[in-house]
Amino acid sequence: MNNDRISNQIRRLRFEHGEMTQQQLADLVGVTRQTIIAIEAGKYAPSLPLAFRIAKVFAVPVEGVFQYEDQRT
Amino acid sequence: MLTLATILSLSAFSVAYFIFGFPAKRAICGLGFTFTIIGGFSGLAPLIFKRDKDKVKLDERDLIIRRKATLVAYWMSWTLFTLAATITWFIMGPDGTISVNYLPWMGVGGIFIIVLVQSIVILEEYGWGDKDEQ
Repeated sequence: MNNDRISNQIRRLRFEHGEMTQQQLADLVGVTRQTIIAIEAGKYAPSLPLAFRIAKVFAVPVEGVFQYEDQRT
Repeated sequence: MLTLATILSLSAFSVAYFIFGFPAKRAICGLGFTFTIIGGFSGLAPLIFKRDKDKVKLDERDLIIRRKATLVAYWMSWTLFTLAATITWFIMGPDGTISVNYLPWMGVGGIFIIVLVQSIVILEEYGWGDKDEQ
């Protein structure tokens, strides 16, 4: 089992960027709205390129969007 | 879901043919004919249903889910096939025989299991229609 957990600040960042909708973010990074919903809910860990694209939209570093929590330690 | 519905309908249709005493050959020919028609027309789908090119329909998560569903379905179909073959061998013994009429049904059964398992895994991975929120 994978014990790693990746939390994110996408919801907060969306609202800080003019209350951007999930669909608008999805269109900007080239995924479906369902994927943005899954990422926000922590149900899906995005690929590295997608994580970078999301960070680029919000003009913050990747670690400003995603936080890694190692549950094994 | 449309594929699952089609497979279920065709399976039910074929089983009904046997139950009502129609000749097996006719049922198999009917099934093959139906598959050929559906297969042929499905090839025209991109021409009939034009897609919005700018809209993302499939992304990395969808591909991962599809790959996982296919792997699980493949694994499940082979496991069931192996189990069925082994159990039949134990019941009928090394000298037992079965009718060749079972061969096409094994194919139909295999496709049915693959489509059913794929559909369940896809639904499970997408969260059985999780709530959408903007």
